[in-house]
Amino acid sequence: MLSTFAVRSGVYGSALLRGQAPRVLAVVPIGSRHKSEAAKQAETWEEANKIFYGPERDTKNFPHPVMPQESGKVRMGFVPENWFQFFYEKTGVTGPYFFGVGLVTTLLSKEIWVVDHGFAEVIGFFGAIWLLSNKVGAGMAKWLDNKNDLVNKERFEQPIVDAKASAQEIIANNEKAIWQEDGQKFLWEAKKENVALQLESVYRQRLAQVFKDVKSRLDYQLEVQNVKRRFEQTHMVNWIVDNVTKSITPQQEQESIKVCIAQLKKMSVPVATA
Amino acid sequence: MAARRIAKSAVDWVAFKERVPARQQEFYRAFKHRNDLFVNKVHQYPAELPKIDFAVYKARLPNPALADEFQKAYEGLNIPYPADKSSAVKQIEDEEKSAGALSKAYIAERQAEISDAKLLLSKIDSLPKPEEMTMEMYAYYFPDLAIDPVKRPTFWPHIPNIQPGHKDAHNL
Repeated sequence: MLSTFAVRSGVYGSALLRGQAPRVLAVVPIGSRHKSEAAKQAETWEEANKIFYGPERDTKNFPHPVMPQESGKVRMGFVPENWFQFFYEKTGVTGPYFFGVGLVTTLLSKEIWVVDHGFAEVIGFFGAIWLLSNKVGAGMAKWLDNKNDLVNKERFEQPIVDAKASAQEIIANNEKAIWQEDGQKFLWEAKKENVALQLESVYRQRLAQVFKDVKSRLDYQLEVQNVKRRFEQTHMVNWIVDNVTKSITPQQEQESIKVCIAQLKKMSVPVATA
Repeated sequence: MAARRIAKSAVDWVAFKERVPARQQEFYRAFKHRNDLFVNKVHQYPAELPKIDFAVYKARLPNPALADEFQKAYEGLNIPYPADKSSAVKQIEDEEKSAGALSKAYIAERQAEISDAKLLLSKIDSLPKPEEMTMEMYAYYFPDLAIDPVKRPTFWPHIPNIQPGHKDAHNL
């Protein structure tokens, strides 16, 4: 009957959906809140846990109410099973049926339940309910159950999954940030190294400067000597040549010319005869 | 030589690059470029005092004593290693110290966030299951969000968008 799915699905889902403000397990993302708030929240939860699940709670005599997923068993479509169990202790198996029939008979015979013009409606009413719960009931229950599951997922499961994921992400990100922050040691090392490199380059420039200067001085000495020697040589040659040319008299010149001509003639004869 | 001789970068630049956050990679590149410049500058000149072939000069110079003198002076030459006059290293160390304090604070902040997240992870499974949760329990577990008619009275059905002051409230 209606109660079959009313307990399982309808009450909870529709009450949550329409009647109340949306109740979400509001787990605030950690990154956006103040440091102590996570601790505060954890404290609140712990206190609440102590109240509802702590050692002072008498869970034996007052068990924690749990919302049933299914309604209880029924017989004949609508009579709760535990009523039959109650009669079974005292009257046996047929007792509850007998009680029911007797009750209806009593009501009718004492005219507590009056059979008037509207009595036919009772039959029609229960007939319609029986028909509906048989034909439409299963589909309706399924539809409501799905809705209920959706609500459950949206309001209870997903927030917890999201919160866990975001917490993991925050942990990973922060650990990476710490790791990167540790990388600063490279920066300082490199900065000091840059100073050392500049000093080294200046030192090497000095070395190069010394080498260049010393070498240029040595080369200068060498060049001075070379120039001197060259000058001496040219001067000597010039002097000798000058003196020789000076010492030649006109007579000597003529004589030598004569000798030259004679030699030329002598050389030309063999050529002419040949 | 008093100071350490350095010819090439001893920093593990690959590891350094890995640790630089994405938004600071540009600064890293500029810094690395600067370092490369310095290294190149160092390698422009030889590391040691170049040798001069004094034998040649001795043979050629009219006065070998002069070459000898030069050689003695050249080999006995002590070229001072440049001192860090502006005390740049000390400045860097000071900077490092102050930055170290900052980064310690930063790391402490990150650690606090990590411990918060870990606390949440460890506690979130202690929340009751939805089928056990009653409205009363909700008020205990989330006192800031549950309906509280004493501290924060609201109009039925207690959803935010029909409360006075909400931006959608005029639609009703």
